[in-house]
Amino acid sequence: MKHNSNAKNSIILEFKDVEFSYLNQKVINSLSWTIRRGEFQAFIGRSGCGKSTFLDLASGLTIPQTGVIEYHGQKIVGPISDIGFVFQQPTLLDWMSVSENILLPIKIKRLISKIDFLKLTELLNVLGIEKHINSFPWQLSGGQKSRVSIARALINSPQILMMDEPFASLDAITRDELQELLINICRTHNIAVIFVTHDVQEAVFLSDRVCLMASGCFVEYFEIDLPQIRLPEIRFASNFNEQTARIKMALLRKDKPSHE
Amino acid sequence: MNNKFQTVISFLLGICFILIWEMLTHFTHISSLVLPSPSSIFSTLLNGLGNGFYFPHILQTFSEVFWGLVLGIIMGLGGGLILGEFTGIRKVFLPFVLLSQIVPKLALAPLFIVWFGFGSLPCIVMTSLICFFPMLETTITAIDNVDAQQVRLFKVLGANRYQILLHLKVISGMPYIFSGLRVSVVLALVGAVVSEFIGASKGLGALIIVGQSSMDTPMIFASIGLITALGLCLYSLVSLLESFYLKNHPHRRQIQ
Repeated sequence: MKHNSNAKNSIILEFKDVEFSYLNQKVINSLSWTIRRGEFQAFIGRSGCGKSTFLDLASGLTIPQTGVIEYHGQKIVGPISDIGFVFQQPTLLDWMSVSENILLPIKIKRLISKIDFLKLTELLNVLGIEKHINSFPWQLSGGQKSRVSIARALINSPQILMMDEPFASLDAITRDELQELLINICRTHNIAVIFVTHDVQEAVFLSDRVCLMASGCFVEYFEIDLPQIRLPEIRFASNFNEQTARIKMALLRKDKPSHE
Repeated sequence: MNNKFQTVISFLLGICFILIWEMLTHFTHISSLVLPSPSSIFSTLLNGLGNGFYFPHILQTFSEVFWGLVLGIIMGLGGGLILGEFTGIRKVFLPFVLLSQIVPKLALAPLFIVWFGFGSLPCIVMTSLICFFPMLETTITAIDNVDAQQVRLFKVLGANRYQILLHLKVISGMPYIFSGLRVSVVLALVGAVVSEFIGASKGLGALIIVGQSSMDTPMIFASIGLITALGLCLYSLVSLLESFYLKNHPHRRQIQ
């Protein structure tokens, strides 16, 4: 599929008045939203506010009952396979080596070529796991597994990455390291990211925009005012803390369970 | 206790057992027709192996076990894949499969002789029928126990149903399938030997019946020994295959 997507700020994914109900319960409520190339958007909200369903819809795993979702201007009718997806757990296949795990998205679609191996080597180097190319998942630490799952999501050179709380189970230091690595990779390759998280600081540090989600729609957006290149020091800037506090306050105010 | 020590103890216990048996036959009045001494069994066995008496029988039983296993595994694996993957079909067919397993299969042996005549065919059919169920059951369990998150991963990557089944469900379920295989191998031997009891003129099972009618107890024991050795070989072969194939499987590592 060829996309007319070379324009730097073209819209990649668009929701138009999307609704989705599950067992007569509205999970997504008339949602309209867009994401452009290279844009990093974080999604925050209480469990059960519809974040997982939102990701399922965005990736084409579920199809909305009303409204349209467009990927590069084309209506989604099934899973979009040229996106990168990172789950909460690394979800590596235990019987495959690191390199086989990373090449899995390609193996499912077609034969693996020499170019794919070059891409693999490049990703292993960028993510700092080149020593583990022939290791198996049980030989890796939690942080290394997360790196492998990110490499697997990037092997297809996707224009959009969907991440469902990818760093939730990591220790604080590893999480900070991976956040810095992720934002660098996405900026370098101009990749758009949908990043679901519970951690407000993480959301502010990584994203251009934070979407606050409650009862199936976005109730508030926050444009993050931080430099394009996110250095670790940003975390200690007063500007950063102010924005974090503002979102936390909004969460306390808005983030109440719905009684519809 | 370390591993080596345990092995030595096991070995010594085995030696003690045989020694006590040998002494019992020498120092008590038990007739050698009832309980022959290990040394006489051993010499019968060596004699038979030396003059080639046992070989056609070993070959016969082995070929029955082999073809029975091949048929049973193909049916069990194939049926398990279909019943595991398509729950609708499973609901329709599982009662029949269950019923066919609850029927004592060895009681069907006389019927098989009526249908398939004497010789190896009824033995092969019986063996395959006995191997079929454990393979079917473990294959269904293997498919049921796939990690839901891994299935989601495959769906996100755009894999079709066939790819999810063969590249994920079957491979992640290999430890279950191998445990079914281990049970099947042992059961196959039972199936082959018992059906030889009923209607065969060749094979280790038939040899036991001949030994019984001619009061040749050492030959019965020698045949039992050969059957056991055959079973051990098959079981170790499957275990070896398993440890080679599953060296990176998490289930296997937990056992180690």
